[in-house]
Amino acid sequence: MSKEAELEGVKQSVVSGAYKAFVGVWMTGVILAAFLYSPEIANLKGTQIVYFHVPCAWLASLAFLGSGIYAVLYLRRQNLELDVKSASAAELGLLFCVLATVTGAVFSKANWGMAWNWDPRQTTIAALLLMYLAYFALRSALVGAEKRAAISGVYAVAACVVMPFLVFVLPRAFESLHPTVVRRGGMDPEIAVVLAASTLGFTAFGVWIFRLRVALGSIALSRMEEPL
Amino acid sequence: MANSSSTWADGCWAVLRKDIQSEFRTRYAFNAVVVFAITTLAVVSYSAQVVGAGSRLLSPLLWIIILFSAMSGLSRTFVREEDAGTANTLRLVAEPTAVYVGKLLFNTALLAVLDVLIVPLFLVLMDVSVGNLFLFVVILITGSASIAATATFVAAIVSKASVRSALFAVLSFPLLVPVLVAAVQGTEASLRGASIPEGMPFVRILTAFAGAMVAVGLLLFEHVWNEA
Amino acid sequence: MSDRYAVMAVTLIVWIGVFLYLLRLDAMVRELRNKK
Repeated sequence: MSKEAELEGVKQSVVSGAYKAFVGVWMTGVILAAFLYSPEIANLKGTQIVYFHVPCAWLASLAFLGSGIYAVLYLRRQNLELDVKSASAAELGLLFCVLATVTGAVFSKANWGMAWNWDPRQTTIAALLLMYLAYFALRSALVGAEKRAAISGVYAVAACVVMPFLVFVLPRAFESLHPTVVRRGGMDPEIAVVLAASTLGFTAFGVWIFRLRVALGSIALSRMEEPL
Repeated sequence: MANSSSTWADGCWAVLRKDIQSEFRTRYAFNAVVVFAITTLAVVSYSAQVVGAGSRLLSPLLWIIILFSAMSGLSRTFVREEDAGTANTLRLVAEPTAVYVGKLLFNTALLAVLDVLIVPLFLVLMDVSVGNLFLFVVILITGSASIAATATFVAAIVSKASVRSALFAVLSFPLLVPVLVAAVQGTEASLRGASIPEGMPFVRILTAFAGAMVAVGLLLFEHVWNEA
Repeated sequence: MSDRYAVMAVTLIVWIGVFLYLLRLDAMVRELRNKK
């Protein structure tokens, strides 16, 4: 390798190493803050889980959006790397969606006695989960990389279009048990800060995992294996 | 290829007419849909508990019948083309969006026919009193339109995959969650006798959804249609 | 009160575990990439 390329490589390793170290330290800090610094929220029990639950739900939606965007890009450029990104985003989204659903159910059980009662927000997250699962079911039923990429990409975009209905329209139209702390002017600064920090940390963490997954997918693709 | 709008509309109309004629001859989709609906209705009304039950039970029941009937019949319009081998001819003869709109209109008409047959039967057999008839009809129309639009879109996707019928339901249902929630709540409100302003949120959701689904279908259909 | 600390300890341990695992995955991917 030439001197410039080597230097470039070292620089990249340092940057990415710093990024990961940052994520590690940051999230450790967030965990400590959640338990030691933040007050309980409005008579609810086990509210520390909120700092985990909210970022997961946020990341799940973001991942969906990402999957849809990469799908559109694939449909325009026909580059299979973009399909790898779309499917990787969906995979991550599925993971976070499961986490969000489970933590939500645990919180619900602890506070209101029932793990599941088809509350609008729970319905939303369940529908999101089903959409992700449907996406992967579709992928596994399609043969041929380009065909799989195009058709599942189309579904990903449709899912993205339906998502606003699930996330924004439904919970507003009906009453929900879900804490409305999210509305304007409802949060103590201590809570808001830790929540924001957690969301930020989670996003950084999520991006790292995403890039790892895409790297694996790309390698598999270049070896002509079926990546996803 | 010179495309005037009249040619495009002719294309839609031709596809629609062809599907209707084919349907008249074989009654392929029509049978599936109507038989399912009537059987379900008969089985359900057989139980004394359900007849005359409140709107909270009857409203979901109605939409279950409509939804599942749609699931059993609305995929035929695309699947039939692939199976009969006529899809390629259609690809040569008409523009993609014309094909899509033609089939969308066909499915909408099919579901409309189902509604006209089943809903009065439902109202009579289940001894339902409709509080606000206008609202009831509007919700029925917008809800059915949303279902038809979604089903047509998913049918196109599924016609390219291997495990058709199971996949059709799996893919459609998550997308339809907002529709079901809004339609069931809206119908319940109309049975109760809610005023029109009270019911408007649901009508708006359903109309917006139907519009979004049709738009998405029009934009993306080409990518599905042209995948060999 | 000590409940809270127990849960916190568990959370920290889980997090550190996940983090280290990902570092390992990262290294493996790096190796694969450089081999190509």
